[in-house]
Amino acid sequence: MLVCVAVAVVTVLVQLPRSMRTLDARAERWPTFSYEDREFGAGNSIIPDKQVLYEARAVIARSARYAVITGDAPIEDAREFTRQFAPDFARFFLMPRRPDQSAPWVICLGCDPARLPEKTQTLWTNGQGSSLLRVEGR
Amino acid sequence: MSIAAIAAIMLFNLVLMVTGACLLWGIRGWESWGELLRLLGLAYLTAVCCFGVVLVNALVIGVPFGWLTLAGLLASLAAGGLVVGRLLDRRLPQLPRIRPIRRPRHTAPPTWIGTLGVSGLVLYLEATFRAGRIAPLQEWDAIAFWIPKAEAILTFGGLDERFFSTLPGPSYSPQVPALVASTFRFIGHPDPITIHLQFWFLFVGFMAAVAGLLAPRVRPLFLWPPLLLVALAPEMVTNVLLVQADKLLDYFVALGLILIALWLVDRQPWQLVLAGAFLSGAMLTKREGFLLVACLIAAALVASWSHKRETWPQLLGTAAIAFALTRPWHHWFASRGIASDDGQEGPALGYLGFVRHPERIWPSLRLTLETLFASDVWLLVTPLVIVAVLAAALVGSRLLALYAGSFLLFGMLACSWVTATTESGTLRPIVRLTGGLMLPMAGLLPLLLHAVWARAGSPPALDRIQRALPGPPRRAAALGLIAVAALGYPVAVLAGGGPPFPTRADCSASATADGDLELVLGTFDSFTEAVPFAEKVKKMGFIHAEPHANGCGQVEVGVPEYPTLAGAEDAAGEARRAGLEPSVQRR
Repeated sequence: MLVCVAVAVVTVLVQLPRSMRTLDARAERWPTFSYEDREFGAGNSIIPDKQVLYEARAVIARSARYAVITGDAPIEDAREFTRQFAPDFARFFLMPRRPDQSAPWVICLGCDPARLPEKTQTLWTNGQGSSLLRVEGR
Repeated sequence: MSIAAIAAIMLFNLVLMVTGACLLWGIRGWESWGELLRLLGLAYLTAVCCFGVVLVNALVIGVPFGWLTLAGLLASLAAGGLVVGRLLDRRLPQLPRIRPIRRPRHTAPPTWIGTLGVSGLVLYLEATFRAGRIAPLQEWDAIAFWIPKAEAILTFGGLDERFFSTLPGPSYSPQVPALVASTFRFIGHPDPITIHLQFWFLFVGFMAAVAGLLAPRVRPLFLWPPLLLVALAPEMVTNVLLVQADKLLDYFVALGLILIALWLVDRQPWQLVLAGAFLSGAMLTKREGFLLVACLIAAALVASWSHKRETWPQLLGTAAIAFALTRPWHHWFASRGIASDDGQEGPALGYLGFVRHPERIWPSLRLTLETLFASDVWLLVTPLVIVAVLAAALVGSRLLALYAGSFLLFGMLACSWVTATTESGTLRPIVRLTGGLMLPMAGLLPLLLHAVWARAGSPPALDRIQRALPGPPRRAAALGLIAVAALGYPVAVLAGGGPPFPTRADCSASATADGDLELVLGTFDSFTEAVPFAEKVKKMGFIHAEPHANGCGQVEVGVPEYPTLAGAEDAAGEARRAGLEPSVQRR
């Protein structure tokens, strides 16, 4: 029993300073993040160009609906999970706007607007695979 | 991400603590104000649990989420506690006993180990708070569904089945989202950064609850080292503030387990009532809660085999009531055809998937054991628990040994079952799952060690280690030492400057001297708005005006490359005369 207590005490004495250093390093790292990087968090590794979501947030009304459409066209700075997880991150970032595949607003990541079933107007594009589109007639 | 947001979270948690104090008075009562102080952590988590369970059930029956509901539920819980306390003829301690808070005669004086333990924990909690204060949301599950569910409850005023069914984990109970939504309501808006601190309060509450429950019955030497050992495990250091349901689940399971351990020894009804509340909270926090609660109840049944006529009906009755409180949520999602991620309820390979794939059994068990024994995950908690269980069994403290040992064994098998029935290639949540086994050990390990000590007798060396603090005003000395530890860290940190609270204004630094300057003519939320404005100012003569993102989610239209402040101010004057509102900023 005394051995158990001794082992616990020694482990705590070793681990407490180590944990404090870890936590302090984390605390000192966060202020170095830009406002955008902090706001995006894990989205930094999902969304290749943050501006497309800032555009969507500014342009799409809070009560409106949007769709995220991904395609095979090249997306500058895309990661392997961009196409898979971008819709999830967009839903988080654009709340309370609701995702809806038949919505008038389209966040296009690597998609070809010409191949969409309806005519669209490009509201913003970075020319590198990320665009915000408005579907005409919806 | 502001001091107001932190104050709002503090207020919400203070309200929960007061509600919990009322509930605890009804369920248990207390003899002195000092006793209440000791049990505040337990009171707080009791309120979190009861509030969560009641709120989920209120949302399920269609009560709209809002201030009225929050205030009504919290007030009803507090009033319920007071009414029950009154009916049970509980009495408040007399006011003159508030000052000084008298130490009950049976309580030992403060010891070195207790004082150092509290000081170490306070330091660690302060560092954790600092690390989480402006942490970005990096946990994917929080982004994918915990926070969207919370925002949906907040914004749409309840459980929106169409929205919930578009999310991963649609059948997960909305207890954590409802708690987060309540925090957002107090803040005034969704704040996915500061919300980490809500999880800090839960952690503090858990540590305080375990320490408060065990302090009067376990020597400080057996209480603080194991408690700190669990709190300092790398898994806790890394993940304790994650905006996910895992840690809250572990806290509820741990408190349920500790309270049932105490009930098996004391048979005080309040211990079983509170345990029942925590078991219900656990099952409504995550699906894994059902598994862990089943392990817990099975362990209690095994441990109390010799008194089964007396204990089993009460244990099973408590579990049944706790389970019944989870049924409305189950009915809500089942009646709407909402299933789990992969369109089915239960594990991907089926509940008995390991029978069809026996080759998965041993690797799954090995993975559980490796995780439990991995020192870079849980330090040495598992080996110490096993030694303590064996020692307790050897010296004759069979009840606790059997209870802790059975729970660990059933828990290991349960974790392995989850791995064995989860499809290969998908994420295996083994590390998170083992938290449900290891956090309860923060309470069981002290009880086991104390039981061994009580049976085997106290070696002289132990008495020397547990010496009380010197001098007559021992309590004051202990509080002084803890205060020095508590204040030392913030003072050292603040010596390097005040804590930053990043805002959008940080991206607009007004120029005060020559340098790389920019004449900013307008700031917008998007290029869609900024581009037409840039065209307009170009026509007004600012031909080099261009829109650019400013790093704070906004777009500035500005004329760059002014080397001198005087030159930039001249241009700003021209812009003002043209009806614009310019500013000169450092780039």
